[in-house]
Amino acid sequence: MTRTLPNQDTFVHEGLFYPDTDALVAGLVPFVTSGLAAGEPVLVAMPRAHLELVRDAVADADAVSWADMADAGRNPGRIIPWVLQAFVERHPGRRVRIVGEPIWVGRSDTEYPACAQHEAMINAAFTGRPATILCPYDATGLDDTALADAHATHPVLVDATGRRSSPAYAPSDVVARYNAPLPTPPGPVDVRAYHVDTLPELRRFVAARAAVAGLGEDRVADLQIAVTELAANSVAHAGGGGTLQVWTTPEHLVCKIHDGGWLADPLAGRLTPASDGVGGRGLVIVHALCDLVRVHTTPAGTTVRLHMRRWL
Amino acid sequence: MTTGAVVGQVDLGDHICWTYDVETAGLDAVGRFVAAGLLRDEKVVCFLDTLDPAAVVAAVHERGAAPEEALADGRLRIRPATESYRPDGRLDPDRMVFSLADESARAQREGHVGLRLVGDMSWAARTGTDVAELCRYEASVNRLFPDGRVAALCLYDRRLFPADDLWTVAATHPSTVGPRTGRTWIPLLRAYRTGQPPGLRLVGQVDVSNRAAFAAMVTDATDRLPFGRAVVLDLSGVSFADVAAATALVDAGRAARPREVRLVGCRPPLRRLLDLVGAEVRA
Repeated sequence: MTRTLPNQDTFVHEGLFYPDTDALVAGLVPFVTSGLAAGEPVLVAMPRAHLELVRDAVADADAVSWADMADAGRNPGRIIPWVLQAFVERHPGRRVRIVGEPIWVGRSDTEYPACAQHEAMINAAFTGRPATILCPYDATGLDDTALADAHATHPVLVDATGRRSSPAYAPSDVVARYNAPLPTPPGPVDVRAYHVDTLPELRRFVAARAAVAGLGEDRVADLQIAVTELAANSVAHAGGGGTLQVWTTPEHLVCKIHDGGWLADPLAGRLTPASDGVGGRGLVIVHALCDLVRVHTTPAGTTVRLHMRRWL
Repeated sequence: MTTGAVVGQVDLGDHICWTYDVETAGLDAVGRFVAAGLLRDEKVVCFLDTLDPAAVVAAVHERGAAPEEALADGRLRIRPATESYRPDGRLDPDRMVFSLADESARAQREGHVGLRLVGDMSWAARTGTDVAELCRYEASVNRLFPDGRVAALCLYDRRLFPADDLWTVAATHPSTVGPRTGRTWIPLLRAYRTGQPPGLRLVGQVDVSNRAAFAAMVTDATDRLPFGRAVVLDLSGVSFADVAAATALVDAGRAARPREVRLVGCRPPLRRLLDLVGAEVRA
């Protein structure tokens, strides 16, 4: 694969479609090694199995930063600020090169919409930043929707036949498509209205439900912080209050927070604060603390669903 | 809400935003608060505006204290709020805080265990006082309380203040009583000044409802120290702190230079937040 060096300050975001793991390794190794040769800091963030294949194939593996995406990117909303941006900021003034595989076979239907939105938002979040991000997609194992979405979220597509620009590139459409209502299940759901003067009670309620669901002490505390941050947004920007619904699934404890506010900026909570908008600082921390964050926001109101894994 | 149970939790060292929306509820709170102070031999000063002085005296009497006697010997004083807060027709936050500190010192000289203040804040709405100025005053008056010699009940009539303004002002108080306050209420946050090492011991919770008060108390604790010294904030009693609280601590550390802010006793969730916010700040 040949590759022209991008301009120093352009952002490059490419989707790599691989039919099997041999092709994955064959596609990534030259990307990584040519980055190292160019003196660029390189980060590879993939699920552990893929990570190990690539690490074994790279001669100078110690020169590369490696991250298990199934852990670091468990919550897709965490990847831009806490994985990608964090790496960029650790290397100020330098062009960086990143492999990021946020979507793999086994991502659940609950997680997937947040993954697709994440891929779409990378484009706006990194515009003008000196970075190259290559996102591998399992062309054999992933379904048609995921592959079609990848064509919409990556301006450049790469496969065995070469590189080409994506005619279907339309990241805003993907953000909008998955900004959809978040239904409450029919099963048992606890409901609490909250207001600025009932936040301690709200935290007690969340802690009790989380403890019953089996969350450890630290995770209960993280969830209390996350719920309090969203409630704080309601107090400041949505008429002073909202409602919380809590339920459990076999996998998750779920907190759904609804208020009358609107997150007009799709990048709210996706960036570290220097370039962030109203309520953003709390939201970016919410992304760091929770295992999955789903958002549905319109001028008529905002619903945020926080998922915490019950068994880590 | 059970006013008696809630007022009973207020002690010297507390700065409470008490919101109400019917006159009788305001009078009930003031009557109990003043009576409790007089019965403990604290000095009490009430700055009244829309609440009627005679009705306040009657409410205190009803709660078992002897307000007429206390008025006669100076243990209870009732003054018009506007004359005190706006002597020149505008609120001068620094001057008002200074005069209250003076009042507290006088109460100590007179042998009282402490000073109770009632601030009927309706004047601020009536005179169109800028909310930012009002917040500046309420935030800076927080410096009076960590010595445990002053308690204040700031009365805000919810009918007079727009809701957004009210909650902005409320957040400059460590604790607020609102329409949904229950009988198990305790003040959300308290600060105790420590001498050796110099600093504050904080007990309670910090969230959107009191974050401006928390930031003001932390800032005041560092401002008191000469350059080169370290202020110690004992956070072992803080059972909950939100992102803004962690940010305030990081900001205070930066603003204090060349003094140092040392945090001790942070519980694990706050330590995680400080790491996350600190990482952001470096960016």
